[in-house]
Amino acid sequence: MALTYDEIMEKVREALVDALGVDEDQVVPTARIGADLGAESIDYLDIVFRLEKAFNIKIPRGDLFPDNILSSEEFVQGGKLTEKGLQELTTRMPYADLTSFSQNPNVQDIADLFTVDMIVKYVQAKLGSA
Amino acid sequence: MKRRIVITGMGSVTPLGLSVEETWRNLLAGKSGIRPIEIFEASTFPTTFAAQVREFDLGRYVRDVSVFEKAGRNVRFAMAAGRMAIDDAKLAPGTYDPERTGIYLGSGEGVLDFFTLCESIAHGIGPDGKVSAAKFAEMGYTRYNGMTELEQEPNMPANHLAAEYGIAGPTFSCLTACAASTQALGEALDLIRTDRADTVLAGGTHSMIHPLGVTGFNLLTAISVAHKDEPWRASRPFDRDRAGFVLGEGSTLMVLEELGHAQARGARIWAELTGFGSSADAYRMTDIHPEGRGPSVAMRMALADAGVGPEQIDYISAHGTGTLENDKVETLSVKLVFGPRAYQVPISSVKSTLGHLIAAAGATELMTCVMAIRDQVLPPTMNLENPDPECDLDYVPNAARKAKVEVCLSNSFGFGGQNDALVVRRFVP
Amino acid sequence: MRWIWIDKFIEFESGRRAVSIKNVTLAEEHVHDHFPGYPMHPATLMIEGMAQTGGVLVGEAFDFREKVVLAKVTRARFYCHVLPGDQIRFEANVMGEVRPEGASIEGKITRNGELVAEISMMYAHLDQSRAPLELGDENFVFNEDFIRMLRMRQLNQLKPSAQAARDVKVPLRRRIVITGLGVLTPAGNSASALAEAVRTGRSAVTAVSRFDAGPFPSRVAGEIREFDATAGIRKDQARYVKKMAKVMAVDIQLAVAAANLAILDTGLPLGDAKANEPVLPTIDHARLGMVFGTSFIPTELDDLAEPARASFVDGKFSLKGWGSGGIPKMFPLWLLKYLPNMHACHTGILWDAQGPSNSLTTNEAGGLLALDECARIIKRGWADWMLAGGAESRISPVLMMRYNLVGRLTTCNDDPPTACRPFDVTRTGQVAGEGAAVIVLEAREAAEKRGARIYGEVLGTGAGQTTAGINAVDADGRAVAVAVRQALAMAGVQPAALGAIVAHGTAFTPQDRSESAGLVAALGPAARKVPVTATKGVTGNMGAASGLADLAAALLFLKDGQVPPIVNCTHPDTEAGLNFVSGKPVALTSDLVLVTANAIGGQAAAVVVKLNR
Repeated sequence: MALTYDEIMEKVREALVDALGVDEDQVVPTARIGADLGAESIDYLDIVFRLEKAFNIKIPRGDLFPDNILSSEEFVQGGKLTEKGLQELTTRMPYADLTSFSQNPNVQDIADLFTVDMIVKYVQAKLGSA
Repeated sequence: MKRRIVITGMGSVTPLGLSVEETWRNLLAGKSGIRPIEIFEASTFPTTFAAQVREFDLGRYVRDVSVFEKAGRNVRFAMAAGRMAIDDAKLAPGTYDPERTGIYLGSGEGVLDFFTLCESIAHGIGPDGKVSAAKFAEMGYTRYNGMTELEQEPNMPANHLAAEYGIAGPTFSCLTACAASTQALGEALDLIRTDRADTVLAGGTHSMIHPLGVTGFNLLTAISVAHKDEPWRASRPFDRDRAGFVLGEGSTLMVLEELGHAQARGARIWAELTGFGSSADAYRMTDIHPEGRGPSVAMRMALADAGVGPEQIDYISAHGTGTLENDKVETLSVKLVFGPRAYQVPISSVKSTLGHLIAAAGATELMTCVMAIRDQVLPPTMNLENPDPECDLDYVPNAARKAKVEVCLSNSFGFGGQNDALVVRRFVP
Repeated sequence: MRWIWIDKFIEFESGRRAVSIKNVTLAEEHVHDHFPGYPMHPATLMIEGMAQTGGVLVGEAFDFREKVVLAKVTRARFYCHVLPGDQIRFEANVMGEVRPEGASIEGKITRNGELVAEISMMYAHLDQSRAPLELGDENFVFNEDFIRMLRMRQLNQLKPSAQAARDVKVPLRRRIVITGLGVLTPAGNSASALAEAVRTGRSAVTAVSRFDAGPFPSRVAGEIREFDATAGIRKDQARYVKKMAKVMAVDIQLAVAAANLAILDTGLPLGDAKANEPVLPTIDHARLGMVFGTSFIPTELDDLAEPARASFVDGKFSLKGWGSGGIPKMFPLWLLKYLPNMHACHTGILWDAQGPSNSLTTNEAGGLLALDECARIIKRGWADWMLAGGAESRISPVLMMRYNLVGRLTTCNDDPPTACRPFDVTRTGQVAGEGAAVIVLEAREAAEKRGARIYGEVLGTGAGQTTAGINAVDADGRAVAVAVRQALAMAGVQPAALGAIVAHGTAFTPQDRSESAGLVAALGPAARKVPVTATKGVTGNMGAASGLADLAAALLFLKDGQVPPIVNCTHPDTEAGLNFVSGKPVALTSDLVLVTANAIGGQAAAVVVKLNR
């Protein structure tokens, strides 16, 4: 029996509340993990750990929150993603909403793509394929 | 008038050698100390390699080995480095006043009895999944050894050194992660400047190459898991493909001495320690402030304390861990302090071959600065194969280099946000 | 004619350096009398001019409260004559710092940049407590006429010269006061709660309640039942504490809570978070730092439960199993929860403290050594506010087992409140305790400028080291003696001038004996007179928090002029040679107090403070 989006959302919310010490009502689908919920780098590790436990899944390092995608000049030039870079990002983060980001693809804004919605969709796909 | 403080003795045990000279020679040759972990069974750990001290025999350095039966590697290395530093300084009993002699170590923990801990915990797990202290103790009391337990406390290296050499003056032991021994040397400098002591045995000692150490850093993804089959390539400071640091272990201790005291007993002087700077990021637990706020302040303080300007620095010994963030922010901080001259000052990271000695790293790196001044040659940053656009300074890539070296700056930054820097220079009477 | 041989001060840097000038004119009578027919300004009067320049410099350091007299002209060398029409310049530099007993200066007299003389001299403070002479209250050195004529009250408004401005970052002499206390102990969550428990002799030691201590030989402890690390702080700070609780072992939470209390206690105003103000808008955050005494914190057993169980292969724990099965079950931030510098890390982030930050792992001496280092950091001009802290919990299965195994803990479990009996002949060992204490040290000028409440002044600190081995004490108490001697010397205080001693007194017989021997060695004949009290009967051994909790409580419990008796010391160890306070309080005869702490096999620390009553 696959879990619904809302059921997954509920468990994700619980994990984020525990990991980030935020209030439940702050955890809405559009909330950004860093900018809105205050995560620092170590918190991403904690979030992954809690999601693995909550859903009994295995999340390989860099799978949910890709790190170090863009060290190549092929993908980044002058602080912005190239066409190729955007393609790479789409492949690596299939659950992120890139619509507004692709208008002005600043490297430093990539972290804003990590949203609650993205996590829920990632988990959904993970459970579906399991 | 500030009291002047000089280095009159050095001793070192590192993955690259069992003495200052041997370590230095191997560093210049670009040899790597990194290889598969032999100290414990690590084959299933995410990281399987480290830079280990090898062929070490404590008996060469202490009066009675039996005293150290339960001691950890941190203590053992410190005893060796201490013996060599004191011999090097020719500090024979009677040539110093024990109560005017102190110790200041950046010192890590001893190794805990991991098997007993885990088996006692497992024994104590109740039906609710929680550990009952009573059941834990039931097994623990039959297994644990009190002295092994005591030896874990991080002031044990200092306590053992004091007992071995009868040192009764001000003694401190700090553990500010990777900055610890730089901070220890800096505060030791202050102990002598403020006339609390004439001589301080200062430096660092640490080994985190134990199951919980490797586990802890693996969990934080701070140490490299890449290049399993060619571990000597895993530590890549300032390289585009750097992916974390590599654990090392060891100890470097120095005899710091007030100049007049050193001269009165005719001591040989290695170099003068002239500046110390220290700050805190107050930003995040492990993330460095992205604008390099703390590191730049520490460097500036050290330069001011030494009374030198950026134009006088001939070499910077980088913290250069090989993590993505550290190397980027350190580069930025150096630019903040040195301005356009940043591109002219050579800066290298010996962690590329030595690994990261954590609490012993800073002292070991200061030792390399002293040797660079003596031999007029700079140690290389190895494995720097693919430049990172954000790390664009002169990192002395892949080969040692002859250079004029009179004044050096040595950086250390720690988990938790402590930033420390030292300035050392050729001694000129 | 007045006996004043300088005209005015032109540069002045408190406690460090002063420059004055003197115009020599033909109208002055004295120039004609030295060599008749050859008018000149005599060398002896230049010595007096230098003595006055230096004397005012030294006097100002203690607000002209001390009577400063010239004790010795160490050196005087003259290079040329000074004639009518010349303007000479006296420059005096304090060597080291102005200490409570006096100071030395190095002086230089110049005329248009040309060297006239070099003079070094020593000054003494003729304080009644330090001299056998009976002197009146009137300050005959700095009398009103003298002060008025030289307008000395305005000295601080003189601008330092360019040279001095460069140096001013590292003033050599700064006085340090205590302006904030934050203490959590088994007796309650404030310094006054501990002070009150000591005063009333009420022990907080109970049977261990935190875990089932059934099989432990020692089953009593001084436990903190509850505390709130977010009390009184801003909402944004409270949110941080709440979030980070997952990576804070109890030691770290205690330290943060105590630091918060201490900062709130200083009366420094908090900034408005909504208006995006800094947490402490009235201070420079770069000049706020901290040094904490901490310990290597043992892991909580539950953190390793699942991973340990997952590591068993064929019924045995195996490292191979740990690597493949155990590690993935570990909380990924596990390491950060126990690092000994995280107390300072979190406190620094909460209060945006960007000054030096250190963490000393010197066991029970940690707190007082932290204070020692904090004082030096302020003195060398790197900070104006330093948090000296100490925090530790010894109430965990791992630590109680450790200290049981090495025989330090009492096994008398029948009557917990009397289990810890420092300096009593019937003592049976230490009691595990826990606590945190943070003391705010502030440069005196900063504290006075903001009208801060001042608990006391730090006059001297000292540190020593045991040489007997890692699990032994010096039989002669040398480590303690070295620390106490240093602290007294720095404070310029004679042992007999001490009003009270708050000793470490853990009730472990070898440690108590060694400490007693050390105090006797350092104090000499005064050891039999100065009252000694101790607090661990109330709290048990709070490890790194010990010395600072004692100091904070002492600043309060001595305020009414009484030294309270040692809790649970009914039969004081008379062989110790000390004046243990037993049964009922004794009068405090001076405001000078010595506090000590020491670690078995390790460090000893001492501090001398002057109470502000």
